[in-house]
Amino acid sequence: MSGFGSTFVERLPAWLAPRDEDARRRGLWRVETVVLVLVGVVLAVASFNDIFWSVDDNARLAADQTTWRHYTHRDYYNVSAAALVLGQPVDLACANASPGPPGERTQICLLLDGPVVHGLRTVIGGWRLPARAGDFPDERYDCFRAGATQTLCPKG
Amino acid sequence: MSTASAVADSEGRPLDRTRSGRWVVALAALLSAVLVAGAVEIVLDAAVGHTPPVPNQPAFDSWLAGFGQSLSQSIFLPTLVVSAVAYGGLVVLARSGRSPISRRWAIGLIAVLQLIVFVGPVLLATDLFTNVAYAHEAVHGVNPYVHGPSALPGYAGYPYVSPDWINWATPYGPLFTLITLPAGLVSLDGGIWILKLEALLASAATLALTWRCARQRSFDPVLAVLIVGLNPLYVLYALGGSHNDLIMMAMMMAGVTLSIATPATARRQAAGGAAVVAGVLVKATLGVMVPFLIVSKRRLAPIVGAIAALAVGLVIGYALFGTAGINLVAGLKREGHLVSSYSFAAQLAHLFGKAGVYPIDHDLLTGGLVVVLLYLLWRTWRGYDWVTASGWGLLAIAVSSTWLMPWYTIWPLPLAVISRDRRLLVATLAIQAIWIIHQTSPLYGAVPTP
Repeated sequence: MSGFGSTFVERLPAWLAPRDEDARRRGLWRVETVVLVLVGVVLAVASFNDIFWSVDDNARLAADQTTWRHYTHRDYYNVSAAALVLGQPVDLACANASPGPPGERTQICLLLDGPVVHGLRTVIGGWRLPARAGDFPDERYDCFRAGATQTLCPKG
Repeated sequence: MSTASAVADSEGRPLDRTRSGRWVVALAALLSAVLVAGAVEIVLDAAVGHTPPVPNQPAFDSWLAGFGQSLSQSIFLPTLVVSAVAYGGLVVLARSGRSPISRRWAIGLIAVLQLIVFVGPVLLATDLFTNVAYAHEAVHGVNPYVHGPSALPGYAGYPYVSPDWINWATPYGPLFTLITLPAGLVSLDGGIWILKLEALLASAATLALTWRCARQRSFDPVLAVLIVGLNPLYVLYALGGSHNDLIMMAMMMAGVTLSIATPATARRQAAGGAAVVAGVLVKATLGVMVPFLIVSKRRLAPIVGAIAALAVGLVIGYALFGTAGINLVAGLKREGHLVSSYSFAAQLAHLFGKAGVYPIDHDLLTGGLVVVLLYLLWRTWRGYDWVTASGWGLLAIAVSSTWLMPWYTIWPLPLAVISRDRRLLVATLAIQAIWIIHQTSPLYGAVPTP
């Protein structure tokens, strides 16, 4: 083992090889380097996993936007879409009911679930919001289907 | 087969005039041009107006508008990646035995890049506007350590402060608040320029001190300042956002310069300790460096210097801002409870199937950080270089922070380039590379990138 370790250290390029007092502690240097590489690999895997995660989310959210336009027969660019609860598949897509700056008109919000089929998802419910109102339960009205629960729409 | 001529450059380094040598010069020139073009593109496009990479801001540099197009993520992110690749190429060329990059070339390129970013709009964060607001609070009799910018009635810069910080008191040390006071005495635009200038000067000081430390430690100073001064996260994020991390780093490097200077007189050692503590009085994060300095030197002078600087800073902080002004860790503790989507902690949580970072994860990360710092202290006690240990400590804080911001990853960089343990430099650049790759995720999605 130590023979392999020494060879490994000696084979390193000069600029990466241990220097000064570290050279006298090659065993420790080797252990530290292994730990550092492992930490680096875990962080890299976590980052790439996050990228794939967000790409999947992006594809789903794009389908949410398309579904909103298809369902409401409005071809608006500014459709917000986001997961209703982080990490769960039900999304909420909202946009103005009539032309105007984002959030400045009455908004239609749709709850979407299920897989993307032909670029669309299933509308399982929704509600309306007044102009310039945040999406808070007390602001929601005209709730329908899955949206018409006491939790999501206390005012119905 | 061509032969190299014996011609030397202005610093006496032999110039390689072989065919491959000319290719290396051409490649270095091309990579330098790519870096400059990337910075120009970002600055001119950012001047057009507010987009995700460009915070909402007053038109303090309106003369730049009209030359570019709106800086969308689909322009910014590829430019960042191309700049990072060009930076990596230049660093590889500069550390090769046939580096064509002279001292004049390196300093000129760094100066051009930093001036381009300096004259442009504020990039990628609203912190500068929040800091200008804190300065206005301090000048107008509102304690910025007690009240957030919302307590400032009729403040013109209110729309530019992030809603996340509008009610929060300043998390920074009293020395930083003192340094920024002039920004509260002038108009909003004037305040912005003052903080931009302070960041630029701090960056110049950091680079000059890095140069000096590299020479002191027998490293190539040109390579050292290239690695720091051309780093895209340093230039675009830290300087582009005029973050006070640059001021903290300038004081950090002043402390290192004084502490490693020869002969190591008591006065220099004391001044070194005082400079590091001055950095702590800007941003408490630098406190991680103090134990390494003390354990390494095992002399009274740096301790006396550190205590004296701390005492002076706390007296001034207390006189101006009361007890809240001397609570250096309050801001850190508050930020420690926040979670940024940039953070590795959040990414690890997703990897393990969790929706986000929970309180138990905060505790685990804090525990892990303490273990790492104690191990580094033990290593320093046994003779490991304290500068390198401080760099590892700062890198560990950045990586374990749930509130990681991109410019936090530059903290260890000036220490890494003067460290004899090259693993620190490799690790710091690797973390930055992983972070930049992670940033590009909006480009791969089906949602139109704003």
